[in-house]
Amino acid sequence: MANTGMLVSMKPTSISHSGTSASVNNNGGVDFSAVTSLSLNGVFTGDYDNYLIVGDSIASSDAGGFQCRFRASGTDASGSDYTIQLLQARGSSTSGSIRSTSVTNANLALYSILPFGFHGHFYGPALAQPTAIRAVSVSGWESAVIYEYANTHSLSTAYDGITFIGGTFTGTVHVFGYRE
Amino acid sequence: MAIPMGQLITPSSVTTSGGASASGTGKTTFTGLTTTGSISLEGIFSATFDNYLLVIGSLEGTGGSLLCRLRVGGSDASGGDYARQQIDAEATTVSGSRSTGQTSTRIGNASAASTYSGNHVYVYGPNLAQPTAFRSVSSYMDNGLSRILDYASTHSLSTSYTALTLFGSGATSPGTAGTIQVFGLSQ
Repeated sequence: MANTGMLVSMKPTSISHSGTSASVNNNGGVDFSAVTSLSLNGVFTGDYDNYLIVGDSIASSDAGGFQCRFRASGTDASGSDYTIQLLQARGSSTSGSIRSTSVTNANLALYSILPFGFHGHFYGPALAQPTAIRAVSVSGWESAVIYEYANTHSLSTAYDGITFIGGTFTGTVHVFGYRE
Repeated sequence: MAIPMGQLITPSSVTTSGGASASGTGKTTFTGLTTTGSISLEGIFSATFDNYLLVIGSLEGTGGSLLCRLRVGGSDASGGDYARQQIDAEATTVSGSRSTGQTSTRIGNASAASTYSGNHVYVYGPNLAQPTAFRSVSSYMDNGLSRILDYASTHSLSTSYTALTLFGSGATSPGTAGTIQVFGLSQ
């Protein structure tokens, strides 16, 4: 019987990092500790259009947030081709939402010392067309906040990997493809 | 024992009208969605699953909003039984609005050709004989800029539906294009 399960684990073909440690775990996710950059190669392929990246137990004492760049053949897409829309809810306020244009990375979540998590929905990163990302997250900054991001990347390039950046961070990420 | 989170559902058939087209099996690729151009994904809701996830990608074109109607026995549920709440984050402005008595509801957006938005749409209980709820989470690439335009929708009739019809809000050809995958969520 054909496997029709919703998600397919996209175990990286290789990873690289700067900082203390990073390794691929038995489930196909990547565990990392006190790294300043983490690259996952071979996680986006022509087999799937859309992907889910789950981040958990992520923590950082740095200001700012968990960011990413697309990557192809071992080189990051670091041009000013990303836009970011933030929707935030802090206490009784939803003000302070911003849009950033012509920036060099996408945002996925806001850092906090308390471990936090996010779901990142990636639409078409391995297709030769612009890419959209939606990240739904919880952060322990100010006890609990909602920081959600919609990101775009304008280049019509097919990417096979992703690099996470932003201060020094610890946690786990796992990339899944949506079966089609 | 590992239990899969969900299962890919292949429509029993895909019907088109008004110049729209569709292809594919597990992933349905569509073009030409307008006020008159539509596709219907037949046989996607059943008693096997209560809840479903629609993954909509590569959404682009001139069709404007991506709209849907529940469907059963070859007929769309087109009465004024849908309600929609939206939240829109665009630059520094966050706004909301609610529409009631609607004859369809919105689940996605396309602003222009080659803009490629994406949506995750959670559908709660469409095959149960009770009202249905939708929640659409978006990454809206609005003329090249990122925007959040999310929807929560309800449909008030206690009817068991088996299918979904998609169409666009714009009348201009070539309309909205994209892909859709339907997953039943394990229970």
